Amino acid sequence: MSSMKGKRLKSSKSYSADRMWKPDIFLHPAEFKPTRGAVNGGASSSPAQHCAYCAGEPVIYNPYSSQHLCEKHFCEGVERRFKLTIRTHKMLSKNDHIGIALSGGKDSSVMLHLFRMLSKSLPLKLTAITIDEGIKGYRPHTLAVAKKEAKRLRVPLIVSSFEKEYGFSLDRAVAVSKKAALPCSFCGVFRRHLLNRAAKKAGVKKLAIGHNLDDMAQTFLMNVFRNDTAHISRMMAFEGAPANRGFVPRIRPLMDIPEKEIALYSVLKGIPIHFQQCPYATTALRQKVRDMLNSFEDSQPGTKIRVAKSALEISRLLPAASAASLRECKECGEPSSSEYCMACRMVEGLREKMGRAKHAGIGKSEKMGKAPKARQRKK
Amino acid sequence: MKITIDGKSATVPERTSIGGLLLKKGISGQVAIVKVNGRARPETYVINEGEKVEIIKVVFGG
Repeated sequence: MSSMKGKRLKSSKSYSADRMWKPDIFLHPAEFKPTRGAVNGGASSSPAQHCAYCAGEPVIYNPYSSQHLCEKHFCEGVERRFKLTIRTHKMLSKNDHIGIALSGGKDSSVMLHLFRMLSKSLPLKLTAITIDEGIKGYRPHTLAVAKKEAKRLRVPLIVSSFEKEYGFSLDRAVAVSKKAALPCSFCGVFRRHLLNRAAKKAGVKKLAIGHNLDDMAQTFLMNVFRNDTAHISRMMAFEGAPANRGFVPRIRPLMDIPEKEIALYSVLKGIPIHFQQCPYATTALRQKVRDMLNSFEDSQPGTKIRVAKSALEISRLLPAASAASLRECKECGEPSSSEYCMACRMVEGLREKMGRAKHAGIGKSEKMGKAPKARQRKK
Repeated sequence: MKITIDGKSATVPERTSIGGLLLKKGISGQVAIVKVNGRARPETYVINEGEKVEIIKVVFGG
């Protein structure tokens, strides 16, 4: 019996040691020693690494699965997870009309590419929707990429803008608000507002958002930091109860794919992407949470997957908040949890500030004929 | 050992891995894709003398 125990322990120890093998990324270059199977002869001093599924040269090492993957198997893995997420969460129905929120960045561009691929085997109608926030030096480039990519993939594109719909750009809104932390708050609310409006106008049945695994984990932690359980309850894969007619249901088919893998997929597939960060991104809480999660992921691989999974599981435990009935905003008719939706309240506040600052934008906002009504409400 | 990083010549210790290089530069492996001689490589890849390394930072959002 004791010898059996000894054997088991020895076996267990050997297995653990094998599982605990870490790639050289955790070593200082000076400490580097060739790993198992290293080839140090000839011109190359690289260890002999190959794909976990074939003899191909790896393009990525995923510490969370302890696997090297070649280009072919990595790309197949991304495409498989995209399809699996859709199937698991029953995101699509036959002959669905899918609206793709396309910014021209890596996530939405890859999502458009994957949906286009899927539409070859499934009867789907696709429409891309882009929101132009009016961010000088940033949005014109990404908008150009979005237009070019939609044209290349033959997907119709609808462009809606803050300037056209609200009468001011995000840059103008930030200039008058004078609060460094606000750009992302404005932008998020306004973009969601316009996306929903544009999606309804186009007859879209579901709106696909390019939220990746990192976004899911970050959003969840941000909501925890703010103690915002209502938002956590809405972090489902398939958001939007059919009963809320004014709200186009949202799907997140990239939610199981890490941000880095989406970026690598875009590079390997030659999907044109504008790798430039939004100038307002550094002001966001999200950036801090992103850095923190990346740090955890580096030291404890799989952290982001576990946090995102927790987000989904916790959102399912909060049915009451997710089923909160929405009503029509008295101003714009969009779904709202109060008398006036958040976007209309923000627009009104900004227009008043712009009026006080005597900015030219106020003239454009009056054209919409919405501001006076909202002002009456305040009076 | 001399290599090229983003078009600039650099000297790194022998057998430097991509992960080691990123660590030295203070870049998380989570936000970078590295190409060596025009091909994407994993962080475990050990850079050879004279190779051209390109670091693509994965930006937030998109």
